[in-house]
Amino acid sequence: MCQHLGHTREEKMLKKTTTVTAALVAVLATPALAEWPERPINITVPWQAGAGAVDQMTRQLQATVAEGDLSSQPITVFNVGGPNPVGLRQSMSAPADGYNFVVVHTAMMTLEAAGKIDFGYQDFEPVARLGQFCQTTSVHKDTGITSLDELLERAASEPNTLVHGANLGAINHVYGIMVEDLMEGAEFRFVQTGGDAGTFPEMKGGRVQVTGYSAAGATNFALGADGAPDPESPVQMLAYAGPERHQNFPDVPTFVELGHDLIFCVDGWYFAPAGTPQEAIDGFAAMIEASLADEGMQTFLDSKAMVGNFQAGDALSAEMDRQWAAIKDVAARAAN
Amino acid sequence: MIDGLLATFEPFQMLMIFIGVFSGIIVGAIPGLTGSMLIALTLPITFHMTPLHATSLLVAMYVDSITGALISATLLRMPGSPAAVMTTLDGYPLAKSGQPGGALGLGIAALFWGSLLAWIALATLTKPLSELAVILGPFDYFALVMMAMVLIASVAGGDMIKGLIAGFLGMLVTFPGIDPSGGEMRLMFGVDGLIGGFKFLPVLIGVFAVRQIFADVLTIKHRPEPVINTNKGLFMSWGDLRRFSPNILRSSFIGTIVGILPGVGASVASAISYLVARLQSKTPEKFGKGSEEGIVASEAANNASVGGALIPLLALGIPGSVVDAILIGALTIHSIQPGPLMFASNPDIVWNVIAVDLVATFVMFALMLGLVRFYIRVAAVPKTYLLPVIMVCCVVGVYSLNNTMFDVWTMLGFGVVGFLLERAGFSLGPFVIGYILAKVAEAKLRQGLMFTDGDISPLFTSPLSASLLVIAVILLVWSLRPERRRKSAARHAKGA
Repeated sequence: MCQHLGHTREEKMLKKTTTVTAALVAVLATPALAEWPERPINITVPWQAGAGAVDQMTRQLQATVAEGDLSSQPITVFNVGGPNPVGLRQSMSAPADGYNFVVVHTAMMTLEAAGKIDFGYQDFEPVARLGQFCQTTSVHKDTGITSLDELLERAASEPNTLVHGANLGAINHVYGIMVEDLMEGAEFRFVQTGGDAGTFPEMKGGRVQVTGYSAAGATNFALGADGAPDPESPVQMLAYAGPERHQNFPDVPTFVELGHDLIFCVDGWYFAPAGTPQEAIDGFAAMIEASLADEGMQTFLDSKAMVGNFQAGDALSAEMDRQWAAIKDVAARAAN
Repeated sequence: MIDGLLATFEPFQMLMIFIGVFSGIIVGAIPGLTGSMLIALTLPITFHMTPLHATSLLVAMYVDSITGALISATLLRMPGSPAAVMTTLDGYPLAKSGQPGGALGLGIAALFWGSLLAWIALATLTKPLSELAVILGPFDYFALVMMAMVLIASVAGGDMIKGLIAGFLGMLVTFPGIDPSGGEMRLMFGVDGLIGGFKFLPVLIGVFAVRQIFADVLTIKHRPEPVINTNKGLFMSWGDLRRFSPNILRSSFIGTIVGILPGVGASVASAISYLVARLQSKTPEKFGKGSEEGIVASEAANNASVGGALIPLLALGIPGSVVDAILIGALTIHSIQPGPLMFASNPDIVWNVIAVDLVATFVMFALMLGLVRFYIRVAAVPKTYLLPVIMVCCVVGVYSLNNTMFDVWTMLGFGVVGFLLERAGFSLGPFVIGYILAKVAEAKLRQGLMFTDGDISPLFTSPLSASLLVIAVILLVWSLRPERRRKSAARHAKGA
């Protein structure tokens, strides 16, 4: 029994030692962050500098953090040009030390679904969503179409005749397919025209009849200086894919109002490499949330027709899972 | 506009223009450094400026970021920017023949007049001319590019077959990576870095600058460079101006129009203008060997294309190239959104941009002339000191473009390719033209076929594209004439 008792003591000692050692190993394995941040925070932007709303948003964040004293350390922005996968892959393999972050939007999901990258949002630590912009559906006025129902009916009765400008395989193409799916038999003829800026000349030239502009693109190309629809513009907005009407074009109904279960917004997400200390993730997320109170940030978001919409933690992960479920199959179709 | 012009004379605004032009010229003169890079790096500095001051600085950088390329293209045979590739073909031989001042003077005068004429179009015809950017369909673009493709035959030099092979090799280089139409990845050979293909700048800097460095390094011991330190002929005489005025007018017109067309760019403008100048020339055989007309055509067109690109950018918010898109992004950060709304919502900014373009043209002219003596001296620095510095600039510039080492390896690899091609007697002009044009040609042809659901007949039935194709055929026949005559003369001589 004694032996048994002694064995029990040894066992207890061993268990205690193992637990303490494991705890020590765990502590040592996780980079100790006395007070995050202790050095500059690096944000990788997988786009060329100045190109795209997400890069500009991050540059505004950099300025807001510096001016508003939101962090004891500055943000450095590191642009990796070329296609997104190059920068995303670099970010994924960056040290998970709490000082490396990457900004990207829904494009990461379309790339993964299309098989262009062999990793996805699940391979990063989600940190925060700063803001989002939602898509619109517009047609050329010459089509004579004035409502979403008319558009879908035309696309169903005359399939593959309405030319839809898009960046094939990318977000606005995925969105176009989702709109097409709202009515059985509806089919657009998707043509490579690029993003908003590439599609507008084709629409103005009469070669594109339908497209999905971002809210900023629609504002710039369809509205006049007074904020009302520009009679000289060829663009006729039909529906907005945001959760509620956009302040820039309050007369344009949402898809939900029109009886369609479609919300399609492009989120500006910040991620960290897997294994990044929670303290850094929380600190970064808090900084993002605080930045939204800044006037400069609000002015920027307004100028890009974006909406500040902070999200972090479990809610963010759940939203990403929801978007992935909605996009996955459609993006795979867009790639084929 | 008068208000916009007067506003530019405010001291701080003038300082911004001066800094913008000066830094633009410097960046343009250094192979590997680009206007996009300069604007992106400067952007955070402008956050604390007023929108007018920020616009002045950024627009001055934008309009003059390719002007400096003339200097390195002429003195070192290394174009500081792809826009000056055609200038290299004649600028360097002319400088080498003992006239560096004359070659630079011609180029400076041409780019000044090119910028000025494009500005006149910008200031007076922005609205109507911007419509050009939307009128042309993809088949029209394709036919236009085909017209430029015949340049491959005309600049092939003595050996037409080798010229065509070089042009074909240049086209092949555009194929790997994500295809521009469907987004499919092709010819990647398992190399992740190739996803973006062989990018424009690393390839051109490799083929021209790095190849030249390799060539210079091999000959450096055997052939000490004679120091040509003269700026004689720097100022274009009235007689020369009169002599070249048709060329300047024609090339500026071509440059402005091509600049308006989205996705085409200064390199194509310069190439088309060069071709037309060669066809119009009484001495086409001098092209590629130090032709003054070639320098004038290339420089007037590439600088006019920058002013031309401002037209759809301001009027419609359409960026014609990467640097245009970055400028739009930079202006957006200052709450200025180029596009149809801008004329109504920010007329002060619109006229300020137009006024800055004009003032920057004059500042650039004065600075270029003032700096030439300095540049000629720099070019006379022994190559043992100069080449390492240029190589470092190339590596740093190309790396910082996308922050990827793959671009640096691409540049070095194409340096070797260019070196071997030239050693084997292949002309680099056709190689580069094939490379520049093939991507646009493929993208536009495939886009056109998507629009028509696979029907190619509109390419031949649409009045505009059909006319352009006919012109392309005429140009091809025309450009082959001297070659046929030369061969026929050689046959006669042999027979005799």
